[in-house]
Amino acid sequence: MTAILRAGDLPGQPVVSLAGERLAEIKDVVYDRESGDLLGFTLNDPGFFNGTRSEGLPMDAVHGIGDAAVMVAGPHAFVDVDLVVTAAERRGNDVLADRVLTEEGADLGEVVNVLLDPSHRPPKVVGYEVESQDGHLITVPLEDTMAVSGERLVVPGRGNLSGGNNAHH
Amino acid sequence: MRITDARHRPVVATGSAETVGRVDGFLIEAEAARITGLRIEVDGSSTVLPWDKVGAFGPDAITVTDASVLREPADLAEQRRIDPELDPIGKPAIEETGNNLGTVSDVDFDPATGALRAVITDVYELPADRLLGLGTYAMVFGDMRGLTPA
Repeated sequence: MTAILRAGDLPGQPVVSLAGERLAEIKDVVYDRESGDLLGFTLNDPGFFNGTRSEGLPMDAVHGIGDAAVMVAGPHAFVDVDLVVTAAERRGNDVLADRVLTEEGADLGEVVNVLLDPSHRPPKVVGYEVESQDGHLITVPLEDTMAVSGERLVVPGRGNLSGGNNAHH
Repeated sequence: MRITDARHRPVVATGSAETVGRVDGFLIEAEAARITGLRIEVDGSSTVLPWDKVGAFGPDAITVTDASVLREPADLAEQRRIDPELDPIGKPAIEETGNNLGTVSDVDFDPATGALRAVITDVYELPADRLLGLGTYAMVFGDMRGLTPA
């Protein structure tokens, strides 16, 4: 049942405790632009008239991320939202829209999604989904990333990322 | 026995042969995977029939010695479990990994002991001993690796 998840699909997902209570909803995904890692989530109150929560969910307090919910042990998993967001903001908060450049200087496109392996605890970034100029989606596995600068990702070779790791739509 | 079959069944006092109420719901201790009591509707209000006061859980009726075994919730845990919002039917079943296990359609239990045997969803028959929690939103299960659809 394990599959790679797109972080971009998570906003709106319920945050559910192991006791079966819906504690919150995912508002935004917070990335560390420098490392490309996921730091955690900002939250909304659950339900129809939901407001932004003053608490956030740090990645190391996530119990599991699946297609039904983001699981936490209980309400004590939440911390002050500034503890999740500030570290990212200090460094310019988002890996999305960064350009991907090959070692040999070819521009592959723009990062449009971050791919997660949810079987890892806490869930781990395993790659990026990159949209090329002609609209193709390319998967760049994290092990192929040589450097992440806050501006761009550099990957090896000429951008010929074949070898089974790449999904084209 | 399935909880949807047992619902609305009459509760009969063997001493007086009178119907003292009807089964309206089940008080479930999720961590222990067992039914601790029944929510009994008596003249429109809810009372608790503790499981150890059930004489027999028969196919047509539940028997008790007399109406006095029905009582108010005894503690906070019972107060919580009597809440109709904790009815498992229709709730999502979620693995602790966050994976969807389907929508709960029924719960199978042993009428002799009250032990839960399985939780049935539209996709799986989930062993009740993996149950971790039952809240107002979902039933949560431990790792189900290797489980195949029923």
